Amino acid sequence: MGLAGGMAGAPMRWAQAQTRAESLRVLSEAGPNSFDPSGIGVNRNAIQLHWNTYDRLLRFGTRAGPDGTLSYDYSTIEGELAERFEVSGDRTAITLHLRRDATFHDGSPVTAADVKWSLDRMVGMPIGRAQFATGSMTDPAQFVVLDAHTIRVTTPRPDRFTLPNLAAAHPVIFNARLARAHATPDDPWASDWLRTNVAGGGAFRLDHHVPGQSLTLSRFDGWKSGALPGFRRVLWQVVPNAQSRRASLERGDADIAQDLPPQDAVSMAREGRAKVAGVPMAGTFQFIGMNSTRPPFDNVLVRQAVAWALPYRQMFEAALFGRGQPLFGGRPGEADGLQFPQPLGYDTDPAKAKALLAAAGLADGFDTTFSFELSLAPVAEPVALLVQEALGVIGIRVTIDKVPGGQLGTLLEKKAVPFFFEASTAYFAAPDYFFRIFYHGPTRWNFGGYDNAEFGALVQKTRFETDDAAYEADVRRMIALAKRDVPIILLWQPALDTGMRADIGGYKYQFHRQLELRTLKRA
Amino acid sequence: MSLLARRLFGVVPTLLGVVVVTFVLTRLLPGDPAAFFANSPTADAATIAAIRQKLGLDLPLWQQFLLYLGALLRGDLGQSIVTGQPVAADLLRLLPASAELTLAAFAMAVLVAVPLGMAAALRRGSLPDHLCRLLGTAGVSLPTFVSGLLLIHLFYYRFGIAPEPIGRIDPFAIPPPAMTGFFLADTLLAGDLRGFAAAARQIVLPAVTMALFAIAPLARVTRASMLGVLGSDFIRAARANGLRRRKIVLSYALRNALLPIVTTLGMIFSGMLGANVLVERVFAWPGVGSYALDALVGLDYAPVQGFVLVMAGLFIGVNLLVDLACAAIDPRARLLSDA
Repeated sequence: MGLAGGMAGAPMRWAQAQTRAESLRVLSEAGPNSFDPSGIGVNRNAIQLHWNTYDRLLRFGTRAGPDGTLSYDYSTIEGELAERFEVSGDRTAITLHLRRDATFHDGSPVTAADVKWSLDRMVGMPIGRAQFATGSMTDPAQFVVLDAHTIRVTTPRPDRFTLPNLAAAHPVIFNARLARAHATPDDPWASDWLRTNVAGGGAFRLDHHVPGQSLTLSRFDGWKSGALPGFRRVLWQVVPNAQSRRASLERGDADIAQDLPPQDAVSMAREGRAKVAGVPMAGTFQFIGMNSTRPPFDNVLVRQAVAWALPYRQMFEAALFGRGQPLFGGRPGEADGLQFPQPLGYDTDPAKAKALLAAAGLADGFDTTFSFELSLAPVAEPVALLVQEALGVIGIRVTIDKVPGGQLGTLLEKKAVPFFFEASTAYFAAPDYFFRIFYHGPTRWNFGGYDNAEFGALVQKTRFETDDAAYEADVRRMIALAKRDVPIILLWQPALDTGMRADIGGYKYQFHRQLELRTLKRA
Repeated sequence: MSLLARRLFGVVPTLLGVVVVTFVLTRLLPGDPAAFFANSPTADAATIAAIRQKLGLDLPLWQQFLLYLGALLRGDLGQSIVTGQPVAADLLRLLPASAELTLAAFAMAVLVAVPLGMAAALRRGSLPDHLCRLLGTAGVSLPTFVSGLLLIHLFYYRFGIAPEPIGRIDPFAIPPPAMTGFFLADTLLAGDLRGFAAAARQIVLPAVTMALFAIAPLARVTRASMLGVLGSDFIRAARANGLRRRKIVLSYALRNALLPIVTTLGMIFSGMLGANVLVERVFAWPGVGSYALDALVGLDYAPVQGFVLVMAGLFIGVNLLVDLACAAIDPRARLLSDA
């Protein structure tokens, strides 16, 4: 940036140096491949764009973590475009009152008709519908416009995930008039246009996008859903190589470097040229899955044996350099609090593992294959080697299979791998939501192929349970079952490491793991 | 020129073969794109089926191929899911960046490697010869991302001489009006000397990184080829006839040694254009190599097919140029016998 200065008139112009105070430069590994939250194959970087350029009806509250880092608070929900909302006594209707002064980027007011169109669109598209179905919203008739600024959402049964769903990343509120102008009979929801255009009213507007390279955002000064953001301009660039991002941040040319690998986060924090915010990702977890639909892992004793044999601490150090929240150790057999994931109660005890294996009738061990996807190799590779070594001790002979990028998902869909390393994320922090996705049903997200009648019944029941005491008892029981049956061995929740210049403040961890631009400011 | 026309005509079946092979190969990939793109934990079997239908992957393979061929004839390379853009637009945007970097690196490599190889051949065991061997070994054995990161660390991070190693221009600059897509050319065409200087500064490190890789084979081939020619009878005859050394080296030896050099040049150039993913990654250079890799990892068929097709076209073009150059250098190649 030594070239900043008066270049007016020349074809290449540089921003004035003094705007640095009000502009933010962010480097991340990849850029968005779509601006439409409900599009097909939309990557997680897309959330960073639509999170900041669109508003939603509701949002999660804010709380400060133990080290002062701000984080979203799943337990409180507040209004965003809806200035207030009421839940009916039987918890089947939510009435949302829109802010009367809110406008979209083009100046047109936000009305209930826009909200209705946006919610209808959610249930009208496959990805949006799958998400909204987790909150019992599947039919446009459930969204009723009461007047220009009031809309009611009804559900057939009280569902504890209807409200969180309205605060999630997907259901953005579109400028319906603008979007509809680009709809066609083949494409009634204007997905082609909305993929590359923003029709919203969020805190930032998109000025310029060079796919795969950079995005320029500017603050929407007419934003009414919260305090105006600290930065007027944001330049977000894609720099695939982590070392290049780090070099640029440490030289002071960039303000924020996202997606730092654990070893860089460790050495950056030590060297102190830039600060590092490392927040264990709440819903994200890395685990070892065992296909419990087929021998030998259909035997719970075998799964427990594996869980007692793993060298957790070594794996945590070798793979993550200790950056994250361990999910090993802890209280065995019963729930320790209501949050899940929580430590499963297993630790390294080869003697116990051997005994369990003998009890399963496999005292001589067996052969199996341990798979992981190459895109996860930096973490999965050391894990795999340590798994192989530790299981060798109790007689399980492991062959490591590295699956090329993008293919493990297909194999898991077919339940074709017996034993593997994977990672996944649940957006909502509720334990029963986690169980419903990862411990239940026929999809690949039920990674262990877990099928327990009692557990299945509880998963269904808790979703619609309105009695808090009954809900807590059910969740405790599910946690105990998850600990006993270990269809998947939870390892840890990795930290989301974001590097920042020392003068950047207001960083807030969001459930979607993307950057919240609204709260950032320069000290 | 009829032979040239025949050569050009011979390109058609090659391209057609490429179209078929890439289509079949991408379909043979074991991953299921519909399952991959339903990447939300809330997606169930119905979601995946809906996505498969939307992507046209539920049709029989031959129908998919006909649709693809029809679109290809209209110049439509399809839609990339990984970038969300039409593939043709992506390639048009990214190819100039790759080409500019490759040409710059290529020019550097040729300017260094050919004289170095010649000097090494003329004075065996001398300093240039050792330098040639050193560069040859280092260039081959140092992976490009290592040399790239090393250069960044020294010239940007340590000494602060080089600009930030990100992209083609300063992040706050507005790119020059697109004429050729080459920033070095476009800034000059727009009469913007400072822009040219900035773009040139930006390209130096990645180009040097790439050139290091290309110098090795080029210098070695030049050296070997020159040595072979210098030891041959006609050079000895020329020397015996008392021709001037300069004349012998440049007119007789070099011209005869050029054939394998030009052939190697062609191969290196084509290779550099498509296969420099690592340099592109390290310097955040928006090129086609990274683009194709991302698409491949993302089970995104259309960009992979488009990339292979364009690369095949370029390879064919470069090969044609090499053949023409060879014909110009060596009349025995007889490609242009009737020209």
